[in-house]
Amino acid sequence: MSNSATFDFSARAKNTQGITRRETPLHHVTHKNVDEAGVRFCEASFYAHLTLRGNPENADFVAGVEKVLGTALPLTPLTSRACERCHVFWIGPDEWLILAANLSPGEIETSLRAELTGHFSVVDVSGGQTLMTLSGRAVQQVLQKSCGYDIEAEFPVGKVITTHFAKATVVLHHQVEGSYFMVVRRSFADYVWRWLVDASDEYGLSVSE
Amino acid sequence: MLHLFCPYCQEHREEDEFHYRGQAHIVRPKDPDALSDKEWGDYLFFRKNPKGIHHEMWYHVSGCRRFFNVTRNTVTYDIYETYKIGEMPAVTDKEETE
Ligand SMILES: [Zn+2]
Repeated sequence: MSNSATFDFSARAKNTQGITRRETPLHHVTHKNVDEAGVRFCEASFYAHLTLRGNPENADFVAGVEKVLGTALPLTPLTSRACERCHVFWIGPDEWLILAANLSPGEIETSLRAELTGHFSVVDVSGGQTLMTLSGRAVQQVLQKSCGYDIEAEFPVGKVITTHFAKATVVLHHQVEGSYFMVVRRSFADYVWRWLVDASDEYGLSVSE
Repeated sequence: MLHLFCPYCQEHREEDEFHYRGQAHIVRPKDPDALSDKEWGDYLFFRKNPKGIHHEMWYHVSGCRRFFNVTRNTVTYDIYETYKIGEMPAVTDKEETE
């Protein structure tokens, strides 16, 4: 897609003729991309999002999760782990967020339930939130003016924080240098998108798959 | 704007990420039936309103979503410490400040 084309999110409604219509939270918006955009945006649609809770001091739980996900649970506050299968974010001392592009949430949930025993919880929250990715030369400025958190000094690659973005609660992750993941509640997605359009206006915003 | 150290996230965050959730270390009576109405009323409704040092709960609602405790001076707004639920305060004997 050329930079100056209009990006139509309506392709993000899937199976529109079927019984179960799937729409990403931003399926209804369009955006006129600009050339030389300073901020690049993507709604990473239909990821699997799962909230996992359990006791990090239970060695069986930690080992079982690692066996299923293919990566160890991040036990240090505000850290993340990733492998080819998924991303795992520390959310709280007994809570993690699992994101996966190519696995169905049901698949992950079933494997976790088959492996884990005792006191734990796994909830498929895929329909309740969406993953936005942000990059581009001006992305840090946009984050800085949208968050009270010190993005410049306190947010190295790999870190994950839950914080306020323009008053909306989001999970923010510095994925690779200059590229960020932002997990937003479905009901806040449109508001956050409109905020981003406005906040990115001075740098130029382009949207892609 | 208060700057609070969340003992679970292990770093300082701005006040707008938190909610104040009242007096800390209130112990639920083991045998409520054995209490007089006055004792039960005190447990349920009456809270300290000190001038000076206060142990209180805060909720990191827009962060890790955990409750924790704060020792704060209600006059100066100085925060002496924050500590996890289940722990006891280290600061208890600071003089009341005018
Ligand atoms: Zn916290």
